[in-house]
Amino acid sequence: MLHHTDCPVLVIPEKSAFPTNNILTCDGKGASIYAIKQFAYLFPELASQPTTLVYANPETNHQIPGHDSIMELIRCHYPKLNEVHLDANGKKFFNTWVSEIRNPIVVAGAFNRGDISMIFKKSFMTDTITSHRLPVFIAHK
Amino acid sequence: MQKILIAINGEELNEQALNFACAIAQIKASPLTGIFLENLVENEQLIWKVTGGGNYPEWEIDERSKALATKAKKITANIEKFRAICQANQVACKVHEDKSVPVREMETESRFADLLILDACMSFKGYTGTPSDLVQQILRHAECPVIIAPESYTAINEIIFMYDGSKNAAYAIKQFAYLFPELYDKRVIVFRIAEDGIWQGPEREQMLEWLQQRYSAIGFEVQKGDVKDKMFDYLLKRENNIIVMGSYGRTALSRFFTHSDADFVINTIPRPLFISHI
Repeated sequence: MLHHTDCPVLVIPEKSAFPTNNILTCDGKGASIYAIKQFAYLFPELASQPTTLVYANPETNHQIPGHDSIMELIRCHYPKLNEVHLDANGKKFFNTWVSEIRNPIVVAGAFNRGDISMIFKKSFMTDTITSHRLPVFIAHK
Repeated sequence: MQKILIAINGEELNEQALNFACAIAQIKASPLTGIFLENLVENEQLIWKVTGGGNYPEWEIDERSKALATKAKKITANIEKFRAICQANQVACKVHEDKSVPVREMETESRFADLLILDACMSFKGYTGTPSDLVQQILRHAECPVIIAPESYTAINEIIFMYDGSKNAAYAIKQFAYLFPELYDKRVIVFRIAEDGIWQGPEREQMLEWLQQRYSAIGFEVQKGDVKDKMFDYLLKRENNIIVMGSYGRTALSRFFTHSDADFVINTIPRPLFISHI
């Protein structure tokens, strides 16, 4: 169903509390930025909550390209913003770190079917989403 | 607050387009970022490099050339003018100077922006039509919605959604509503061409249901006949509105703009046009 919807989708686990923290996932590519924008347009009320931008550059340990421009855009919508840069080892600690965040919602982007299955099967968020049973907002074009 | 951009040919500032962009920034209570484009690649010329190992030719910018100095002066003057106009309109402003290939620069800038405002005639090669070749290319690659600035602008009292039943048209309508919740009290008209001039059924009801969540004055204008003729007749009679259109996807956009309704609107109807594509 996710593949065929023409609007963003909110995947909610059976038991979850109303989100009070946002986790934005970003790899600097168009799909993730698109999702971050759509979440802010649809939920301006939630965007004003404490937000953590997690950026992971799977290919290198360097900062994502266009970092300053990304921050300029995201700060317009998410005033209470924190940044976390995940390097290759960060993946291990990410799961523990998320468990300390109260009632989070994850924002993820996808441009095609492959990307959607990646969110649930192969990405650095996979363990976190499945083990903590977090709500996920997915926007895809 | 949102990140609103206006693309400007560094050497030629269109004041009408800038005043319109300021009006949009005022509606959104947001700052305006001027992207000053400069096609430096065009200034590259073949230069003989002299080195110990021998001489060789290389494409480079001649930093000492008069043409480059004149160009730089013009750009500095236009940046000053941009700041002055924004200040006169009480809009906070920022400047980005992009010196590489304009289309590529705009693709990246638009990815990290909420809205891009364009002057339909912007070009680095003299007049290349309305919309210009450059504007068509930017539209094809833009990663955020675009508004084509009108030649003259007074106010937005009405929103006209051009709906052709396509996924793209619906997408553009949604993006417009998300970006401009401030315009919730304006009159909304959904314009559609139907074969027999009648549009009924669940699709119309679903659209009305969605619109009712966001707007209170909603009308449907359904006509039959040639799309361009009807659109022209209808749009020209109405004033102080913004037209919202989708397009047929990135790969087909050039085709769309050669034969399209959006091209026709940009060329013939002096109204702001909001375009967003999947």
